Amino acid sequence: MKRFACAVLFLFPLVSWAGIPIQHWTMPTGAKVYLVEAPGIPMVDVQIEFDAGARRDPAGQSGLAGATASMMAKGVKAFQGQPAMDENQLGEAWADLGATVGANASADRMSFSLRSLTRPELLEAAIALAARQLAAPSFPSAVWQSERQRWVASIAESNTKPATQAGKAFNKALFGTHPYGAQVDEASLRRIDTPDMAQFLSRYMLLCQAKISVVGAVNRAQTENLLTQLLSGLPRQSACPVLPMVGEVAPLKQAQKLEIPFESAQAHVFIGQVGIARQNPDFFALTLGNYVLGGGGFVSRLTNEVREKRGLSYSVSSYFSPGQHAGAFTVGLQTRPDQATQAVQVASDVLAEFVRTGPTEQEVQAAKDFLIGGFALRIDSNRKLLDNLSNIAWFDLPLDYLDTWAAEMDKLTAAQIQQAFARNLQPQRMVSVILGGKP
Amino acid sequence: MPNFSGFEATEDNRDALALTLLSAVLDGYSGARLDRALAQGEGRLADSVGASNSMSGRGPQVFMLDAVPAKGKTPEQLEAALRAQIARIAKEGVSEAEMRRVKAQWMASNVYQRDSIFNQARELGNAWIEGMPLDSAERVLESLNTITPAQVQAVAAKYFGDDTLTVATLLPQTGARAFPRKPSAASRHGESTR
Repeated sequence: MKRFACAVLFLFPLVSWAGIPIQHWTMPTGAKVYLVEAPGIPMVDVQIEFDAGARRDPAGQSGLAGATASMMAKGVKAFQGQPAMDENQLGEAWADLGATVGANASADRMSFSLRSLTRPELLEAAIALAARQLAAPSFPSAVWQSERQRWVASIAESNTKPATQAGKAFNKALFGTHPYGAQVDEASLRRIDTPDMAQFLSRYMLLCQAKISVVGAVNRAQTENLLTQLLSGLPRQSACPVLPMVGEVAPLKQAQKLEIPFESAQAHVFIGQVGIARQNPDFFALTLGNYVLGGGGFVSRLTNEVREKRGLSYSVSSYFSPGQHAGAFTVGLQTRPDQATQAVQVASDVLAEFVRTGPTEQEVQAAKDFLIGGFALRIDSNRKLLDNLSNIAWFDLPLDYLDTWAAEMDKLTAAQIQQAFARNLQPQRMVSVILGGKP
Repeated sequence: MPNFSGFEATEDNRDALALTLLSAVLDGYSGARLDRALAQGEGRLADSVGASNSMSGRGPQVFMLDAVPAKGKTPEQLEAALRAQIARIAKEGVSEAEMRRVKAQWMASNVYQRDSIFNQARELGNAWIEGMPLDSAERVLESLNTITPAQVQAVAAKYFGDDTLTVATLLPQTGARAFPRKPSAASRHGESTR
């Protein structure tokens, strides 16, 4: 074990300097595969993604994508000569294999994941079971009724928290009726039943559009076999359907200030606007610049002005959330209620000044040192490599994305960063939410 | 609960391992005993439920059972149901299939844990500070494999008396009570006002 641990510790840095070779091909079904061989540990991770995220929830049924994902492990129908299984039989079977499966829906994607040891008899059985779960979920109605009750209870619990309420108000102000702003609540869950889930899958779980990422101790031939079996039960499309377009998020027309009473000791503050989609060419400049503005913890401008100089908050940060569509740009902090107005003013001034004049050369250099120096920590495990790989797959990023990442960062100038911020943010049209402190 | 302090075949070391397997039989996989008995179906008692044994450290350890009551159910009902699950194992034991299952899981998770360099460092650091050998992860796995169903049954009968039991209930706050007059020293938000 000791010797093994040392071997692994040294393996990843070497790999990162030598580049990460990504193998990429398209299966006969149209599914696109991205593979990184990682022979160090006898395990494999597979992630399969479809354009079936929450942005495709039907009107009035917010939560359908998430509900469908969560019900995938709750039972399988009899399938290809194999008997039906309920959720407990599935749980036992996965535990016996020492493997795990997962399914979840983000705003953009529905993701299915499998982690298994690569010992052949275990991996084969895991693939066979996962294939049944993908192709023949039974969506038992009684289980959904009780899952829904649990979900409603957890929403009610979460609604007692000021951070939840502030986040909801902020999202609503930013996204309006766009699906990115849709909120799951008891009413929307009541409108979801199990046939809706099967229908949602048959509509959006299209093999011809699937993106599949694999990281582990498998080579290309093994991966091809494994995926062929894993996906064997899914319907094939002779012509790949074009899914309905989801509109873009409309930019804010004017500034908006929301002060919401809530019984909390601290005021929760969000300031922001509609930010960028992942394909925005300014992605790198904004990532680097945001480190200087509010992403860099104790060395950021926001922390310096709001916390260090004035003691207005314990922490303050800013971030972009780029997706298929423009996600939020958010500045967030908590403060004592009687100084919330001042904190918003200081944070807004810092933001406006940054958009106007951009970072200094020294700040740019410090941000490059941190981000480029820390790059190895973004790819130091199979799990993190899988996340990166699925991002490359989903957003059609170049296959050498991870190899050129540091160089892309390094060539940015202070002027380019300032221009990128000025192009994408309008400080005079921000939403500010101040929630709490005034019962 | 007893502390797992090394690989000598002492009663404490063996019991600490058996208690860990007990926690896994109760809550080690989806649809394990606690989930099935308390958190499934019509009229279920709990919205969520869990069990864990901290196993090793520098002193006595804690075996923790936790649950969130479903609508209309009381903490007392949950406590009784959780204790009944332990009592049932003390009386009837656990099956060979359950033991094989939780050992297979432990073996697999041991492999998956190597996927984090940070975790490898933490594992070595933990072993060091507890005076354990640096290959203890593998040796714990070997030792767990020697634990029998009868030993799991025995610890379920031995360690769950009222004399070492602590029960904590977190009650929901409603109305004005949710608004503390002064930020409490223990709350993160209180701290943030400085």
